Amino acid sequence: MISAVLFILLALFLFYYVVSPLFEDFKKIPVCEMEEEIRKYEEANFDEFKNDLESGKIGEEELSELKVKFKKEMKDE
Amino acid sequence: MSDFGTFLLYFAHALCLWGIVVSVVAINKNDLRAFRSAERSLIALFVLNLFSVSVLIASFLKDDFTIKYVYEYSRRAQPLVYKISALWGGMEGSLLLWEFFLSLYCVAALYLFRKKIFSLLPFASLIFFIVQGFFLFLLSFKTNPFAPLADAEGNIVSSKMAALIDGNGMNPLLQNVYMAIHPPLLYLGFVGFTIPFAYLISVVFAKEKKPLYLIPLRHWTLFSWLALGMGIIFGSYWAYLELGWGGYWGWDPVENASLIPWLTATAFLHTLFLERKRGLFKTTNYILATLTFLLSIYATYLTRSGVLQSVHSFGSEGAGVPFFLQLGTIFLGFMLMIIILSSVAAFYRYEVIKSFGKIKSSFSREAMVLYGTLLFALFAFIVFYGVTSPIFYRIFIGRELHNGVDFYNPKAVPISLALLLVMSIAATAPWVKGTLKEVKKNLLFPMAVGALSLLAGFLYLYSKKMWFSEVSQEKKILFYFLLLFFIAGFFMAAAVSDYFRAVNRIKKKTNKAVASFFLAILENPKRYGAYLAHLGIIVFCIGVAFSSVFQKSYSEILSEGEAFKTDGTVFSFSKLESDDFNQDIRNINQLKIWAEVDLFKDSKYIGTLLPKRVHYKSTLETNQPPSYEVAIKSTLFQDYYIILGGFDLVARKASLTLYVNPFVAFLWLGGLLLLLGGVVAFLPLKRVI
Amino acid sequence: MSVKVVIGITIIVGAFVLFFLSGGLKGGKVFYMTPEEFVTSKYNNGERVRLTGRVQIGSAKISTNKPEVNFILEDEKAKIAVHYLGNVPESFAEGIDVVAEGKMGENVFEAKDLIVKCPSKYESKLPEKKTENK
Repeated sequence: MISAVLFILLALFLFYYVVSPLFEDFKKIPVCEMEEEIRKYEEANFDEFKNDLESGKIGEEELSELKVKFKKEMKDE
Repeated sequence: MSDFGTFLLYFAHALCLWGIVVSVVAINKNDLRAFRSAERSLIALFVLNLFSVSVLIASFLKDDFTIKYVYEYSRRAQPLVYKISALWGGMEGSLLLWEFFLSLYCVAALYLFRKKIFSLLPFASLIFFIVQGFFLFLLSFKTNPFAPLADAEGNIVSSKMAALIDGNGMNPLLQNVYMAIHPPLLYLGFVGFTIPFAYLISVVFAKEKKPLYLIPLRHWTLFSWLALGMGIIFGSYWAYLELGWGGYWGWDPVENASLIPWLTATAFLHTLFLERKRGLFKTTNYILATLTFLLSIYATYLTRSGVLQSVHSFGSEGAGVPFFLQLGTIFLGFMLMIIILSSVAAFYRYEVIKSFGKIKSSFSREAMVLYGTLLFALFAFIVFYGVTSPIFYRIFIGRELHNGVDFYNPKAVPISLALLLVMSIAATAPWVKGTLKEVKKNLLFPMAVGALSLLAGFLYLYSKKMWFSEVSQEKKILFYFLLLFFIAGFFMAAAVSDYFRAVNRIKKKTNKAVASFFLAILENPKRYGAYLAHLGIIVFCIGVAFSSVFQKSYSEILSEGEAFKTDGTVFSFSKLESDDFNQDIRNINQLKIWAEVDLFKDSKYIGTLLPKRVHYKSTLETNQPPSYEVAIKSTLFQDYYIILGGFDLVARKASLTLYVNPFVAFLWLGGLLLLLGGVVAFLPLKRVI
Repeated sequence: MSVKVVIGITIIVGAFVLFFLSGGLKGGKVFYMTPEEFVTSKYNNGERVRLTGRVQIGSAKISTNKPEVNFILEDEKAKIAVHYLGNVPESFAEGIDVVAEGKMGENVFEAKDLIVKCPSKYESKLPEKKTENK
């Protein structure tokens, strides 16, 4: 008996929790502000490239080529 | 409690259906309300699963035998920790554990790194509901862990009746710490591969070209790969300690099932790294993510459904269940659906997963990853073929096939060596393109060290008189060993010199001598984590090579007081003892018989081993022989391993199987290095300016 | 030569080397056979096989001073004499089903592995109890 009561309570609570957002006004899913994230990502990328450059793993020419390629990917919509 | 649990499952399954609906609405109408409902549904799913798992564990702890699953895998006298681990003792509970981990991961996937992947979340949540819906469908309608216990006529056992009976108890072989940890650890890995798949297919659906998703993707993959790898090694360790045949890996279909996704996941780790670094392998990553996910599902189906042991039916459910309702068909159907879904998505949105980088040289580090990936794919295919072909032979040709050590080893060994070779060359190969002068400079030192290491290894083999048994095999095996020694030296030289170069560079910048050692690691934790992990693999392979080729085994029947001598090692059987067989077995869990064997190497006392035979309530009641408890003495270069076979307490005789296993410790050492490498790779990056 | 061609050649050469070293991709298959199939040579071609059958009652002779056993493996239609050198599994008994893996010797079937199926329903989780003799 107790398990039935517990279950009903749990079910009701979760039901309310899951369905309640539907009763608000319509809003679009916000587009997340990516500028900061993109900046951090590019910085981290170029850090890695600089690391490689310093340890002699790639040359200057390759570095600039890679920079161009990655920038292009970040800009594309 | 049986009903409560079952209703929790039904409710969770219904919630998945709801989640699919609101996710679709969120995607199509860009509706925030639907999306929030979807997110909340994922959280609710986790809560429901948490309740389900808790209810089942509580049922085990309370000895609630009205639940069939509890009756099958527990009994009143079972130790507490194994009442809990009985949760994953059979298929129903394992699937529940899987679903529990999955729901936890899905919530984590929703909130960790949220900003980087926010645009993917509506699509990812759809995938989460589809996959969870599949498992909850199985749990609700096919493999319900809360199914009530019924008697032979099908009448459900009442709680009054259940209070009077005792359960079967878990198989004694599984009542062991490692076996208790092994399945959950594996599942932490398997389940984790759902997330990369969900993210990548969402990338395609959402047409997301910005590669920010790579960061969470790499973290999830590394974590899951590490968990799975540790789970596999734990399984081998358990097999070595408990199964009592002197080995740790038998190419058993169940072992293989977990290896296959680990192989594709290892390749995936590397191609992900290259996507981040060079924009390469984007299509490959999409394929590997999907494949690894599917193979994890396949692995759990193979392991838990009994299809591999069943001789006559495809789904192992017998003739009563129609083909399309059998477990195997349902799993197959689900996997087929995923394949179709991901293929269609990739076909229509190919530009999203097209690589923008190029491999510029056949000797570059990028090319090495390509070769390595192909080797991993080949390895995975061979193991997959070995595991799956018997099923096809059984269904279509009507013959039972067994693929054992003789099938796998001759293929696994050269492929593994090829992988090690590629791995070592990659450590010295230049990025993008290198001039011949640069390449020569990089190779010189490692090649010299490799040659020295080869010589040292050869001298070691010679000095220990480790000659091989069959002349025809000898040359090939000797070649493999020398290649292994060379690779070990080569790689160590390359990795260590790279490390010291970085340490020196930082010492010059910061003037801190000791700290530079740590700062160098923090400057690029993934690189040094990788070096450690690769080193671990080499150590592991050395352990495998020595312990398989040079294992010695002896079967002897000895009387108390007798000794067995071989090669400077003496096994002295001093005593045969047992517990009192007259005590009431209802109160104790075990009755033991054991032999005392003193070990001497070159006249020096090494230790005393106590190989045992153990009776449990189940073995005594069903007149089965007692199970085996192996005795092992481990040193760095040798394992002494004794199994007590037959025994005669009256005649004071024992049948002993003695193994001398060289270099086994290297296996576990390699595993530890692998773990350490994985942990280091997770450290935060701190660049020294 | 373009990069793609060099890579392609490397891959093909590598594949050949691996194929050669591993002795071909198909080797190592061991089929299960009943004594009847084995005796009527339906599939028997001298390769290693796994014989499945029952230990004939009255036929098992377990040595007391050396780990070995001689017995007759039978099914409804045929019988085969088997010799196994090694630690005899505890659950080995007359009248039960066993698997003997090996090859036909001069007079008897020489078994390298003797596998007794654990009569437990945990079969899908446990490997079979086996002893190995190389």
